[in-house]
Amino acid sequence: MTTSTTPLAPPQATGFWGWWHSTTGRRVRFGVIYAIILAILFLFLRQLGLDVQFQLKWLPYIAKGIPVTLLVCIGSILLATLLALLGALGRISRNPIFNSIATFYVSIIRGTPLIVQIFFIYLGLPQVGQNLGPPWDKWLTLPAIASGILALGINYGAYMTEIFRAGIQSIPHGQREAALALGMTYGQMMRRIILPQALKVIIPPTGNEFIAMLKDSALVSFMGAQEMFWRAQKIGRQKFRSMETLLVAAALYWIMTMIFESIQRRIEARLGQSERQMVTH
Amino acid sequence: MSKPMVAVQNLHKWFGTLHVLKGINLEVQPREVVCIIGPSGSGKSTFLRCLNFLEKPDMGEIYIAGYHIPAKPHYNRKEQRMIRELRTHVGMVFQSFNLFPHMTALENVIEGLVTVKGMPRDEAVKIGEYFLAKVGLMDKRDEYPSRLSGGQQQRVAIARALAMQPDVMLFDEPTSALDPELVGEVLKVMEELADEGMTMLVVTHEMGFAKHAADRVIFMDEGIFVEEAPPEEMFAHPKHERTREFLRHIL
Ligand SMILES: Nc1ncnc2c1ncn2[C@@H]1O[C@H](COP(=O)(O)OP(=O)(O)O)[C@@H](O)[C@H]1O
Ligand SMILES: [Mg+2]
Repeated sequence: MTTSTTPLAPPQATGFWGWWHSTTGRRVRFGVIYAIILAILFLFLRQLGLDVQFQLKWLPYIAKGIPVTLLVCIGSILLATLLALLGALGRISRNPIFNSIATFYVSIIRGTPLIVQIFFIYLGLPQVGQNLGPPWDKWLTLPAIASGILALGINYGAYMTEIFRAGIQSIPHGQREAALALGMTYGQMMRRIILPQALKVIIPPTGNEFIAMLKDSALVSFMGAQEMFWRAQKIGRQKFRSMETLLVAAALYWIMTMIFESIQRRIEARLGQSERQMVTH
Repeated sequence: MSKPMVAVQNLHKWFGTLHVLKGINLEVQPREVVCIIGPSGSGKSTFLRCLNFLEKPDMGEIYIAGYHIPAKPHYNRKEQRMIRELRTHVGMVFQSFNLFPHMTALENVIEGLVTVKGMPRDEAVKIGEYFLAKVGLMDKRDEYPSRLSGGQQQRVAIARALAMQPDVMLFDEPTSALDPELVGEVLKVMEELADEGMTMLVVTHEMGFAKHAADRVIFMDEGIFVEEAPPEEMFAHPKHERTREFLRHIL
């Protein structure tokens, strides 16, 4: 019996080449290349006469900075989100006072270096407190981690203001009108209608900000917050083995970044799913 | 005669230097259905949007659903609260539906009841289901707007406005964005509403609807009401040359 049926799928290579071109094959190829690059890097570092034993010995001490780094980052991103929301509402507000304050905030923070802002808060604020006298001297002399969260939060809040503003403004005007026509207040409209939709636009770039913050948080070591970089520096200087300890810290930052990037990809995939549910037919 | 549902006196609106509404006067009685026709850009949408203060009128007086608010450059808190209250008595249906895409059909319909009127959710759901059934979409209760056809979306939008139990409904070209085969289902809902005695102001070019449901048709051009008449008279014997020309264009 000879029947000519149309195949359901294009012909596939089988055997080795089939595997080579499959998804798993591609993953394995990339994995192998990655491993080779790492091996070369490792050999190169060995040539520099690195003391691996020393690194392993001090790894737990440096890794103890991870919770501090995470605490600083999570605290800062929460503060930054709050400031960004207020900043964005100010930037789109027709109220001249509210609008000017928000514009001024974004301008001054984006126009000055982060490290200057950090020192300003760490060294400048207590001085302001001294000049104002009690009880301000106590209130404005903050512990290292709190100053770090304050500095990073204020800084990132300014950059994220623009993200939030763009997200809010990406929502079609008709949504606002439909909400107002039902008799909603401005706040109800924002909370119930605009922000839930804007969040889909805001979350992915906010994830990028968080990952950038992970690395900028090393700057709060200057305030004496005992996070990873502070610990790496301390031991490195003490034992004259900075290369070793800095490499450990760098590796830890890199691993944390990759973990958060994969979390971010998962969140974005989920957002994309609900987006598809909402937008496509 | 009973108190009018809508009374507008000498209404003016400018966009910058563009004079869009040039002294509009209108009275609409309860249970009356008034259609507004006119070329694009003549100010029909702006007029409807002034009635619920989505646009701020620059001059004149608006009386609607028992609220009397004069045009003012700035409204204080008390007046803003009055405007919001007024909006709960004035339903609006838009050309582009403007359903909330992150909410199901039912959630769209009860949103105003729950958020604005502070009604308990289960009570609001009962009312919402009643109005979804009324527009024939009970089976789409839990669908997101993106999974509904344009005609279905517009019917949900009508149910959303009706759920607030308004005294008057404003429709701004409710069928203009629809594929021709979906226009009928929306007009049917609107005709039923008219038959039940809802006071309606409808910007539309659907002459069939105007003939069947409207008590009066108003022709608007360049920011003024040029003429008004019962539908048969307006379509058969328009008085003004501009009206004749417009009707030639669309009929
Ligand atoms: N928000 C606005 N800003 C500036 N001009 C506007 C705005 N809305 C409408 N217009 C202008 O006002 C005129 C009337 O518009 P509109 O009321 O939408 O007319 P219609 O609904 O009859 O087509 C048009 O010239 C339009 O360009
Ligand atoms: Mg219009």
